[in-house]
Amino acid sequence: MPPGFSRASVTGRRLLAVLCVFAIFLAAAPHIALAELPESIVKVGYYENEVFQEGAEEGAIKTGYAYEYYRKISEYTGWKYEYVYGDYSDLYQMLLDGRIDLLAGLAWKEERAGLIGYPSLPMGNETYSLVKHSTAGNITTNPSTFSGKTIGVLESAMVDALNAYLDRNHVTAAVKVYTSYTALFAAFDAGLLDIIAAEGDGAYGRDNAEVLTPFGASDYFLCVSIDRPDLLAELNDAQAALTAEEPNYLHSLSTKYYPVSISARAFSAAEKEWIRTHDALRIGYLENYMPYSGTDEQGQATGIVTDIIPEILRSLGVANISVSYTGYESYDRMIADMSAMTIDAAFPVGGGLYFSEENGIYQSAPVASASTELVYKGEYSDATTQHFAVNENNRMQYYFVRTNFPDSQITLYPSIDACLEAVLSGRVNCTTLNGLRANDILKNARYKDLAMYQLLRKDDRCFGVEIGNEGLLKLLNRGINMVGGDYAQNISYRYTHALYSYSLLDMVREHMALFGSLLLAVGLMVIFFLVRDQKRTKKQMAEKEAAGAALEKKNRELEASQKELAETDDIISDAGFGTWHIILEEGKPPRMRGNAKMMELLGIPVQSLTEEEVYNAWYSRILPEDVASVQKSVSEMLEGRLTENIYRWEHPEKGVMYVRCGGTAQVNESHRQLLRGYHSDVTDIVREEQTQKETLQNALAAAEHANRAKTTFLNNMSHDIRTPMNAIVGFTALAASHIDNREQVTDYLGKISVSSQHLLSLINDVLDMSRIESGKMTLEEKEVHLPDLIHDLRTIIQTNISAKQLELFVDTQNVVHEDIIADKLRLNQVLLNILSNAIKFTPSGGKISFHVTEEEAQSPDTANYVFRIRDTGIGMSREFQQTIFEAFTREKSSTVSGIQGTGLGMAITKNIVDMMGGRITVRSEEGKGTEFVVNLPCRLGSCPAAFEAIPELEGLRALVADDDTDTCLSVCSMLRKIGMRPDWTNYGKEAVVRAKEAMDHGDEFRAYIIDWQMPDLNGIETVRRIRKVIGDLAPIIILTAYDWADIEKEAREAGVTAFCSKPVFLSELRNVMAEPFCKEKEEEKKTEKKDFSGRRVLLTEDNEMNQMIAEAILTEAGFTVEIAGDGEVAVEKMKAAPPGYYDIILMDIQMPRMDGYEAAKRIRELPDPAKAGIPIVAVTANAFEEDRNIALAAGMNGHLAKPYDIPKMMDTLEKLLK
Amino acid sequence: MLTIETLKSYGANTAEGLARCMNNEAFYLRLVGMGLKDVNFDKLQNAVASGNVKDAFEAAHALKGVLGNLALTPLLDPVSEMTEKFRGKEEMPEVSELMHQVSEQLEKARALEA
Repeated sequence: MPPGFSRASVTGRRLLAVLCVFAIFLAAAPHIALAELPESIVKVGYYENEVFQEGAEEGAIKTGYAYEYYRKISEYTGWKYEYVYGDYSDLYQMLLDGRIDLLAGLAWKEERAGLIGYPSLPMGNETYSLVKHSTAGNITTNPSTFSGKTIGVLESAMVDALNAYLDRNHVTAAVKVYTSYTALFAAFDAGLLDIIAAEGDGAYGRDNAEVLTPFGASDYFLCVSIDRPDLLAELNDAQAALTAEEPNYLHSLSTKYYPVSISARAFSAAEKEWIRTHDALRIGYLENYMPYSGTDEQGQATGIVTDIIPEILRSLGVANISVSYTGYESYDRMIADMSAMTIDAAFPVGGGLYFSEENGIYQSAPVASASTELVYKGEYSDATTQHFAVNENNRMQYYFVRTNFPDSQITLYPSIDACLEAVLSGRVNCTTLNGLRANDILKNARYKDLAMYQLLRKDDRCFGVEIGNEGLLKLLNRGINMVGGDYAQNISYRYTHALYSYSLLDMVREHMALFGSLLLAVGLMVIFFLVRDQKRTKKQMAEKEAAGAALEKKNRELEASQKELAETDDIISDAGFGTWHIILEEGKPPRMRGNAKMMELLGIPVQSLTEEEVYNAWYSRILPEDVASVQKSVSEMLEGRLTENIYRWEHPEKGVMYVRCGGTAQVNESHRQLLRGYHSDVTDIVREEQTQKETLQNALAAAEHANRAKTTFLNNMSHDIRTPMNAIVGFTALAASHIDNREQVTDYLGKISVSSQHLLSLINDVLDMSRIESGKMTLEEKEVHLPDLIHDLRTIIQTNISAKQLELFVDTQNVVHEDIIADKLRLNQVLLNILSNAIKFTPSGGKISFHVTEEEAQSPDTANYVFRIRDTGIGMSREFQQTIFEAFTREKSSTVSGIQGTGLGMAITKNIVDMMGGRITVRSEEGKGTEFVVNLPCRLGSCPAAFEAIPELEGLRALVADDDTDTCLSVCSMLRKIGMRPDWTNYGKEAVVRAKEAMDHGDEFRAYIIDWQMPDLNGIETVRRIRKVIGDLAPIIILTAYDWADIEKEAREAGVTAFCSKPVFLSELRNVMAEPFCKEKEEEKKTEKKDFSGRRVLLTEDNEMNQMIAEAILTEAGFTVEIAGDGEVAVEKMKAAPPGYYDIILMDIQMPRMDGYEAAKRIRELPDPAKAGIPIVAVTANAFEEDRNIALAAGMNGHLAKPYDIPKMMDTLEKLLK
Repeated sequence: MLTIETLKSYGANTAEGLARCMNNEAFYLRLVGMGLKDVNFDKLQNAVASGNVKDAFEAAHALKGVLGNLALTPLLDPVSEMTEKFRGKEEMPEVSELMHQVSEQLEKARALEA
């Protein structure tokens, strides 16, 4: 029978106790005989498990919960143990094979039940907890933070419980199963695991472990090999006897080994506040309430209160609090003083929560949870509790009696002794005594005629704290938990002498009374049975006749009511409710029967199972975590209440479901109890509630996160702004006070300038971000020559790279398209931002590489680029990588990292990339480095560079020498595009050898491309040696990442033909290679130029130089050019000229007097339609899409950008003049 | 002496500038000489110093066109950047660093003429 389902009425329990005493007397007899036989040796599997079972080695000192339990069991069985050591899993296998007899700590698993013997009672109950490293701030009690973490667990019933818990909370985590606790804890301690699942609180004094949350609980058993039913039977008997004799044994054992380590958790805010604001604790106590509290002959406080308070403060680690005690004769006075705040806490208080509330006090956790003894004289009967004597100075007693015996009469006496006297004299029927006091008080000889019996209701003795004083209450609760629930009980013996004086005579008297009442009870029972039997026979005859007549009538009534009943049952079933009965009968296993709907809900075929099996089918499928709640509601039913409970139940087919179950006791007798109730499947409702709750929680978490991020940002920003501001203010003041020292002032001004620049960049970032967030940022669309962009970037960062002694690699791969349409400034900003970060976060000696790759594009007029920037810097945490692109985030505050910034750089970068239609991603590992990848699709420029082969070089060989293989491969593929046959090497010396070899074979290289810096032989020297071999035969081109002005002279002398900057782009390489052949080509191109002879253009432009350039270009193209210096002149000229005189107008926009927009508008408004309709082309240094739109809106026909792009200008003019 | 070679080493994209002048070297060099004397440089300096954003924008904008045509990259870059900083602004933005670059580059370019 599962625990919690046994309940005996008061009398039943007493009877049982008496029978048990007999049983033990009987059992003791064969024991004495057995002791002379050879002892039975029992083989126990003994595995190492912290606290539970320690010393798993031959000769090692054994301790632990399980070990102590074995010893206890052997007291009852006489077993002698042989310990077999090993891993849990090995030992479990041995248990299955029958090589060991016992193994402790196994949870109940249905599939195991046939393989090993489970005793009927568990050896303990276990809560499972998740434990993390206390430094892991990213893991909180919120289960969602376990996602992606590694959780270690022992191969045991915990694995299922853990998986169920993770599923329930929708957590995906890596679960690693270990075969031994030693390995599990070692892995945790070594940092391989983020979280461990452990029994109890799992921290076990580990300094750096912190309990997160319990995730399940289960009974565990001392299991017996299936081959040893004899041992199992002995174990069952021993456990039953242990339960009867030492009912609290398991509880105190678990308290001993697994005290609640609430200390692993931090003080709450209220507790901290109390400690901060208090240096004294004033305790009020009852003067006459030993062993709890009292005042000794010297007038000092004594009793449990004087032990537990210092112990609590010590356990809490709270020093510097002085404790004072004030004694009270009256409970009411004590409570009143607490309201008046002359004391902080009162002890003891109790008597029921209702009266606590009435008094305006909180009750702490129980210091002692003792029973209450009813003290009476003579025979116990219903009348006994009709009239109570109550100590007027002990309100707890008054409250208790009022709560539990509301109909009784109460007479007040000034002390408990007066109460007891009143019972003795018969003025009242009874009084009560607290369980810790009763035995000792009643040992006084003058009370020998008083009897007592234990009332069911426990009456806790607690500290009382004024309502509102939450901090102190929490501290006391925490302290009480830490000193342990049995602390008070254990030290109470010290004070019992104050309650009685005990003599030998007293003892004899007491025992006389016990035996006397026992004999009397047995005698009465015999008489009762005899009388009852006799009465029965006489009555039976008469009753039979009357019954015959009544029977028929009853049958008819029965039929009608059965019909009604069936109908009701249908209605209830249709509503989805099953109905059930549970029968609990002494000496029999529990049984259950249900109606058809109930069986359907349980997934049991009707009539296929016995009632006992039905009960088991139901009970065994309650989820272990919920068993306790079911037991609680059963106890409530047994107490006569109607209760309802929702618990999880595993349906054989549907899996885990939520069940709403309620009921009450129908028959409530000592030996037989009948419960009945209803049962329905509410899974959908519960799940929906859970989903709603989760959605709300998620939304809340998101809002909180955003809010937190803004707050953090503001805090950081204020700090970051203040730092340079402080410098500016400080150095300004210094400069002012040293105004005559020119040198010093210059130095200060320099420092002020640096700080101002920094402050400015912070503010710029913030403004940039707000522009992006308000959608005000626009992108310029302009032709960008990618090689220029990359070379520029390289130039910009080179200084910082050298200053920090970093290595920088830049290379390109498959870049076929070099002219794109993009916002050069913004693209620069993006790449520069990432590169600057890489430089910022890479310590000296590190490496930064920047790869540009072109990938295949979706359409022919776009190109996809991948910019990959990788560093060997400090990297960033996985958590930070997820938020790096959010505004207002930084890995650590700048004070910690020593690196300043707004936390906006990457958010800006990401926003720009998004606006450009690209994608940015990051990969990073702390301490190893970071890689940012920007994927960017770009429209191609209007006049892409021509990449056709150079016919003169077709099929000729070329040699590439560079110590970087990627560069070699990339340059070779470009050379192939030009039409050459390339070859490559990583070494300068090798290049020289190859040159010689090629010469010897008569297939010489017709071009050499040599890196300037190679480790074995530098480029210039290589060139010098190659020239020695080949003479002036072929061009030699030097690749360099640096400005070559400094080395040009030396290089030319060594025989270098040309330079090409790194990273190498096809267009540049081609230009260099084609240089000797391109002159004629350019001439060819020139002949193709457009001819606009006979056309007249009105060039409206205020800048003289632009006028000259435009005039030159236009004249060259055959135009007749007339110039207007501003918009007004242009309008006048148009008015004055005959229609058709000008063919087209080129209109600058930004001009004095009248701008281009206004001029265009005026011209469009001219009365002559031929004049008004003249094509007008806007020419402006603005190349924004929006400017183009404004120009078109002002009635212009086209838009050209400055500086002049001749082919584009010609195209536009040609189109408009057609 | 202002030559294509010295302009190239100064950082001008002479190929582009020349192309815009029909590859007429003399014409290009003459225009460069004019460009370096452009009054807008003084206008820009004064406007920045006096905090007049509107004038500063106009001067920078005009210079951007001129320098772009001449392909005087070392001057064009800071001027373009300034133009964007001034665009649509009410208050004078911080451009001292850029202004410094412009003066420096202008001095360097004018030194070529000597």
